[in-house]
Amino acid sequence: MRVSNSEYNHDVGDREVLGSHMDYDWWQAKLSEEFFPLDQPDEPVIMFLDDDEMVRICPDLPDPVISLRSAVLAELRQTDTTAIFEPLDRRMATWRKGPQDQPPPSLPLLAITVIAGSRMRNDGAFSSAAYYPRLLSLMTSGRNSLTATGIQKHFDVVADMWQTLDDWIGRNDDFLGPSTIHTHQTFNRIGYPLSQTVLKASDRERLSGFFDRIRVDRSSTSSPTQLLALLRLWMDKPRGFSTTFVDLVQKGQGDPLLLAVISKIAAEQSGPPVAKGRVRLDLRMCIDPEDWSISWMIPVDPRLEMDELRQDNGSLFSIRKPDYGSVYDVASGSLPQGAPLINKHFRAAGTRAFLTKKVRDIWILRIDPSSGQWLSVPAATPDEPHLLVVRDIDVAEMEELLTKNAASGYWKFRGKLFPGWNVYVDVSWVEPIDLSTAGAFNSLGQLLKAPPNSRPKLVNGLQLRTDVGGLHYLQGGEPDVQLPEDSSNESVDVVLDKRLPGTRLKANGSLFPLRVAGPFTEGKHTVSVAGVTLDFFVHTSGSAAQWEAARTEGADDAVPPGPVREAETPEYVLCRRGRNAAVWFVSPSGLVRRRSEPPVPLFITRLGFPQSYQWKVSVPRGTAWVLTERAGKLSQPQQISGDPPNFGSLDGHSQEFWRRVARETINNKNRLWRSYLSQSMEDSIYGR
Amino acid sequence: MDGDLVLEWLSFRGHGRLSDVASSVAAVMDSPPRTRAYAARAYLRRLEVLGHLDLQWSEGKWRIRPTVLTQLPGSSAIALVIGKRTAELEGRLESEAVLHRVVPPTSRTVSLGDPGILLLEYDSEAELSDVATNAGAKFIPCAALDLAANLPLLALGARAAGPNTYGSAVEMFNVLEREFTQVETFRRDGLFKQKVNGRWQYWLLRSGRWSSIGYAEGMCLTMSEVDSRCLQLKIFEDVDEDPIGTLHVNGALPLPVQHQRALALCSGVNAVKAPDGTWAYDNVPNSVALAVARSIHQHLQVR
Repeated sequence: MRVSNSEYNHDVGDREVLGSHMDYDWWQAKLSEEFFPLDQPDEPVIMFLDDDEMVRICPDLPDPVISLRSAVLAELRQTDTTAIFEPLDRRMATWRKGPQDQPPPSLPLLAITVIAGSRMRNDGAFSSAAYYPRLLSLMTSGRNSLTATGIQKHFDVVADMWQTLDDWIGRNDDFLGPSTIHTHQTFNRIGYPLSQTVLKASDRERLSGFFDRIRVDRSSTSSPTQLLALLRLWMDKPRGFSTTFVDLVQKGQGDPLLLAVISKIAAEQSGPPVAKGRVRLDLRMCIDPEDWSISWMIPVDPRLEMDELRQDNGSLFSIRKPDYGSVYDVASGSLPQGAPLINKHFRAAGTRAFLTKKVRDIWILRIDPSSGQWLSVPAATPDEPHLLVVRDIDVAEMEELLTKNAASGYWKFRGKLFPGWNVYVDVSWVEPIDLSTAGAFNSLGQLLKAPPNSRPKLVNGLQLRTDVGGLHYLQGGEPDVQLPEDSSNESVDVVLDKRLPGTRLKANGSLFPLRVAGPFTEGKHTVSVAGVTLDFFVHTSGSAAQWEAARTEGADDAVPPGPVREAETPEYVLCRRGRNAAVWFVSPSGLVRRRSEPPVPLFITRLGFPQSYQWKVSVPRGTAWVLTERAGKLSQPQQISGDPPNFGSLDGHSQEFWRRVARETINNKNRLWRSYLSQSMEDSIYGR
Repeated sequence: MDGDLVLEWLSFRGHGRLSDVASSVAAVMDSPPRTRAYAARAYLRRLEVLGHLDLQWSEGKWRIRPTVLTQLPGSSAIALVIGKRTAELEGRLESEAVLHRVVPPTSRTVSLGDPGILLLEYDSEAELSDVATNAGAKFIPCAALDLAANLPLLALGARAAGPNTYGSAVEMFNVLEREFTQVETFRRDGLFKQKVNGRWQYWLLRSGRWSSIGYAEGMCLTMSEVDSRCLQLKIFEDVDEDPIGTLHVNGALPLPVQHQRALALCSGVNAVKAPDGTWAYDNVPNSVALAVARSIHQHLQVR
């Protein structure tokens, strides 16, 4: 429903006051028409706007956000006192006195507060949770920042306006869907606009991470629903989206706005990538096994090609992704190097990346296959050689731990690589680390992974390969639970989908097949074993995850397809089964062969195959035409080759055929067939 | 557990490491745990023979075959759907043609049944070809004839060094006893095997020259020297140019995979063990049986 300006002014009944502010009214009418159509009582009302939505709503305006801003600024006083909202208050007062059949005249201002919310992202200057800086930068025009500060100072008035709008939607529930306006416990003022900010800029970036992974055909029309289904699976794990967006995705049943937003972003993905938040990089220790030289490296993050980073002391360096290898090249400037760095914190920030190094109590290094050097890793894995760097004070404890849990063959580096530290080389843990032995060695206990069998896990099962995260299985191919292996052989409870009481089993590392507890319904299931809860999804035919799985390539190499062979092409003709069914083959010499209908092959009935009402026969070499016959009637001829007729002497069988076929196909228009017919007639007239 | 689910799952996976799929398939089998790993591999082999998969044992890889619509040889006008199979594909086929799903004959050797046989009714070859295109599948007029025509004549494999005399025990195939027995010396010509890295390797020794070879190929070459009448075709449908019948293969003669596939695709089902101990393949045209026999140096016996 579109509200024209004149109507609106008439409703308000104050032409004199509003006459000079047509822009604000135009925006009020535009937003009212866009978000509050009074004929959709089932769809929840969300006043979501961001820069892209503004362009979509007003495709004709060169910069709709600027236009909206100036319309709103013109309706505010240039002050930062409470008087700032005076003109708007007057509009609200007039509206309150009226019939209130239109939304309150605060929509343009409220829209601005939503757009500010949509611009929240970690841009280096402010975090993705900072709202007011976005509002200030959006509302500051030229050198006037007074009004912008005023809005922030008196945001409680704006919050009231949101509340008024919420009340108005509630009163009009016959025409409008439920309101989605609500506020936040802590941020009770900015909570209002944020409840409408379906998609913060940071959400948009996280979504782009999602779209990078999946392979949905963006040109197909069914994709938004499929995308939404996949997105729900992906967001089953915390992905850092705003609460508003999470709520909308998990609750909204095919919400048209959400679908529109998703498909729009999906389409954008094929174009230039959106600006991304900063990538977190980690400075790693690197030791060359040849000459025991120490260096510090930055492992490559696939999202970052290159960046210039500034250290805390102000010096700059730039990194670039190498053609080959797992660490960045330092293109200009230099990374700090040397052994003493082990005892220091380090930080450097760029526009796209953020690099840190923490002070640790133990460094664990593993050979990096692409460089052949020891590279620090977050945790040790059993049965693989590691290099450990431990503080001098921890040596006694380390030695005890090594004698107990490491394979023989490790050795202590004699020289001093790092002052105050000791280095152990070729350490591979065979025994699970006993944490009680580690005792005070808290850091080591935390850093070394728990032995693989002490935790239950899901194994086997007909698992689908998707990139949406989580474990997905075909219905009927649910996984097995590998029970924890406990030396005391205690019993554990396996509880499926919180259905108590669970099954009591010995914790002996054996497998418990979940599918025997089935059948499972489609969707998420949980199994908890000894207090550890494992999630998995079950999919039936045709789910979006299945669809996705069919298109997800594995990490392993594809087997190249076999050589293409020259295909033999036998040609078959089909004929309906029935009384006196037969096929006639006509050769260019005029001779014909008849093949009558064979009985149904034995194996067809024995194997229970369907009995087709057709039978087929391969066309012999040198056949020019095929005709089928059923119930004494010949079909029209079917051309097999373009050979011209070259009749020789015909046997009686063939002569009979030609006499018959001439009668039945005399009206056939095919010139080649007609020349066959005429030759057959010549032969019958003149003989040979 | 049904084979349809396993085939659908394999279709989703597409390709990968043999050990991964073998363990997942083993886990859904109902056979006793100790024999499961072997049963799972045997089951994958059955799927390979049915034209759904390609297995590369030497590299430990597998790959699903693209979906193919192909006609059965003989007079029956039904087409077989082989290769990659998903619910999506079945839906598309069903919207285009009459699709039947037939439960395959049960096998006594495997606890997991073969996947259902998908059969299509059609009115003409052109129509079938269109159905294939619209469903995103490939059309091959008759895969069985096609495979049979391309069977290579079995020959000695690449020249090799022979078994490792310092390795594990070497066994030689005894053609009279029809079994492998351990040998100390390798002077006589024949088929030898030895376990290398936990897997059997096979060699043929011919006039002092070793060549490495696969198990089935080696057996075929060895058996052809003592018994060249292992293949018998019993004609049922005596069509003038290419009679069709049931092919019985001597139970002691393992056929290479592509030979088995050419025969299995004549009917769409795996061979069944006949009461006389032979493997029986249905609906085999004389030309296919002859091509298989020639390729493995056998004389086809036609009855």
